[in-house]
Amino acid sequence: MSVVRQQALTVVAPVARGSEAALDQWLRDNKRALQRALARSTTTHFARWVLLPPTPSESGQIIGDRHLMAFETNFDGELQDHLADLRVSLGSMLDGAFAGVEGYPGADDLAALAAFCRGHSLRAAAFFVAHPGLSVPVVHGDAALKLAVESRLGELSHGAQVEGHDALTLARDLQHTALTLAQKDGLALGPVDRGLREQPGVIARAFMRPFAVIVAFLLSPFFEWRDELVRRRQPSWNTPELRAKRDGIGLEEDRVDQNGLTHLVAMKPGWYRSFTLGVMVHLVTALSDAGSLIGRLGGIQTIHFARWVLLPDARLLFFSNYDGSWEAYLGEFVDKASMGLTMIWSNTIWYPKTRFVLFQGAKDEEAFKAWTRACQVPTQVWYSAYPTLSVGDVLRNAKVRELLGQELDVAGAQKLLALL
Amino acid sequence: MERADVQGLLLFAYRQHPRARIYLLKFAGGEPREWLRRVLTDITSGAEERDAKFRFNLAFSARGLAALGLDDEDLSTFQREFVQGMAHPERSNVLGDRYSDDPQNWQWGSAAEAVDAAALLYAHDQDDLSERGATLEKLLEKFGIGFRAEDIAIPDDGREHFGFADGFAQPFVRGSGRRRQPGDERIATGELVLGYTNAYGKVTEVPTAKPRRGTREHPFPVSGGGRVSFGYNGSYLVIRKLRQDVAGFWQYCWDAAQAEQAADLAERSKLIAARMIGRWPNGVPLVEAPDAERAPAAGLNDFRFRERDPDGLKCPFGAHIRRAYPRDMFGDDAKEGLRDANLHRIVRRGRAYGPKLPGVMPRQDDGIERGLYFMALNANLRRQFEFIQQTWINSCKFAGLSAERDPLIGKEAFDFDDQPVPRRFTVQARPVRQHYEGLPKVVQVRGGEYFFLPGLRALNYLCDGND
Repeated sequence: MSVVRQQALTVVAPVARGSEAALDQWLRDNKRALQRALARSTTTHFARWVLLPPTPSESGQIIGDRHLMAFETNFDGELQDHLADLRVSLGSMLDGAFAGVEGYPGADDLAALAAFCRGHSLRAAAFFVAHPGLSVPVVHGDAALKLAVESRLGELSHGAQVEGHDALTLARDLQHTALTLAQKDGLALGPVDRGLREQPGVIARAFMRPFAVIVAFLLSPFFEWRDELVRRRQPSWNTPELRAKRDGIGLEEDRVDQNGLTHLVAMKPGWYRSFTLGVMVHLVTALSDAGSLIGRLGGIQTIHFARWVLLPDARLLFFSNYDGSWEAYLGEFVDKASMGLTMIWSNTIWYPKTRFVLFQGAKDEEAFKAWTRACQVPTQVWYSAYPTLSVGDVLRNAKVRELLGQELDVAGAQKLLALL
Repeated sequence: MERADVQGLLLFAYRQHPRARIYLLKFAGGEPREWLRRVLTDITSGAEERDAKFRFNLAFSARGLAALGLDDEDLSTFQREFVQGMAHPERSNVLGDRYSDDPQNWQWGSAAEAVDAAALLYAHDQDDLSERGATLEKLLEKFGIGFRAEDIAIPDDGREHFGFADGFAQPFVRGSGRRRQPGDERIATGELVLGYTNAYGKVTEVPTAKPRRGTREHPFPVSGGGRVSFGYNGSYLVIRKLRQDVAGFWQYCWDAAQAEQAADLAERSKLIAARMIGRWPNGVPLVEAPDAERAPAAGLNDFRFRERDPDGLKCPFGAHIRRAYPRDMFGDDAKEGLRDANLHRIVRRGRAYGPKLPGVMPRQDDGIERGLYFMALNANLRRQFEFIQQTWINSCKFAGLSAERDPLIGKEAFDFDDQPVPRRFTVQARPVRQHYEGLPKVVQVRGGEYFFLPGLRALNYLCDGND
């Protein structure tokens, strides 16, 4: 089987002035229906529709004269196949979900739809995948296999205890169950080629642009001194309006075991910040590529997909799909990934005070969490293809599938059983 | 730490005063400020002599502080979890207070049964308690303050209603002046008291209030903009009333032992229960004694999980004591794990209510309500108490588990189609794990609120009139 690659699609287009309220309402009213429709898609891991409102710049001016519609997916394979799949799954609902979006051609013509998506798609500045090479059907198939062997174990149990078999007999029994199901439903069993290869020279690639890196760091004290002046002059950004907005976000979170986060904040003005963002994104991506292959973003094991996208109007957009609670997620940012995040986000406004681009910043726990919350944008529709599975579950189920499809010795059997 | 300014409850569990009563106060129509002036001198500070006959502490909900004159601007400087209150839908989401635990079913703490303050009175024995309680109640009536009172106690045998010795895992707070017990992990003063350095090396945010007449008489730190540091030396107090279904708990263990066709049903039920808790009834942790209860050695908080039990074969990963405080089990190494876990500590002051259900491992209910007044102190509700509740207790992905919550206090879970998710408890074993299915929900939330436990100067401030 060939390797299925995961990609990100980010379509950002302006909404006709005056249409945003109706669109917002339509998306909220049809949230569940859109989620159900997307569940028919075989290429979509996560998706969301979010209306990006105009937000203030550093000087307090409002960026954007209209709302922007951001539609994003994390998908398998090639873009054209994904778009065709979306069109089949969502059908005419697409027209409702893009009503009022400028330039949207309607769902009837696939070629026009694809042209619209391509024309308005933005490249991710940085993109993380926790479980590369595992397509949606494989993730679902793995979960089904796991469920089948769990229920077989239930049949073999008295109360909580599985009766009397040794590891090898038990494992073979489960392999039989798995094989029957895999043949019936056409599921993958055994190893799947995920295209995981050691990427050579991670450190070397990180410093491919040594001059740029040095310039960014050397100039940072001057610009941080400027930030300090701005901070002193600025009125507090933590306004009652922002607080009211963030109360609304809190109500939408933690409904299931996963959460989606949409975060939007203006860049600080001037060439230095956009230059440094470019350098830092490159550095962070190169340094964490090796790590992201095993499901970690700077030591965080709970992020399925995440990405930064720089909008043409100089605002930085961040999408994340993570396991567990907001508080735990942000806590892990602070405790385990503060440097990487500070390198990127210190180039945006209101960010907690930094030193040399990478120190302090996210380490200021209360300030960083307040900042994150303040810049979050309510997400109208958020979809997950496997809302009950954590990154750990996905990776473990994949391991179980591999072992179920292999010839096992006693050690292998024990390994399989220990994963259940 | 300014021990003379903090309330005593921050530093002491008042074990010498095992009998106590909690008063949940309603200020509406009364004169809370007048009442506060009268009881101010009775309030126990952290510097009080040990042999005093009574202990008395006082904490306010956000609406209680508003009734005593703090305005919206003042309240916005408190943590928003506190200002929202425990029954706010967003807090319910985070805490898992839904379905049968929904605040609308609570006895108190919901919007309909809101409380303004919690007054805690502690005494050596029941007679003292009744006598002092009567005086207090008379005073409350005099000033028109409504109240709901309930007796709470440290049980004589030192065991909570299910029959387990508890309260071992407490942090040692720097600057508290207490003796550190073996195994107590040190945490920064600012993890418990506002206005001090916390675990991140930052001084905690301190709620502020506008100055009042007379404020200058108190040596009160003044923040920028002329505002007074009202929250300095204060702390957030979480109170949750949790009903325990003791008979239901033991009946489940008994039935589970029977389903396993165990030879000795009593012994097996005890083991199943101990695995859910992570300790034996006498408090000995399962990592020390995985197979049978044995006499407690010294230092029941002096153990870790990672080295002794990396695979959960002694103490299951889903056991209550792991979920409430995972010690060193996460992270790349033990040191990192312990450091991370210690970012989420609380100081517990819980006490039992209702009579004990007689008998050992009793399976016959008597219809009387009993349970725990869970009380905990922390400086950051979201990062400490709520984190424990949400990310450890109620997470179905805790420690690599995939579909279960705390076997004792885990929330009720429903799937997308609003079907209840069966409660499960996994016991790691070789060659293959055991699944206990269909656990009953043996703990029910009956009430709760977030309170603020001010320092003594701040209490003085509340007595000073704007008017």
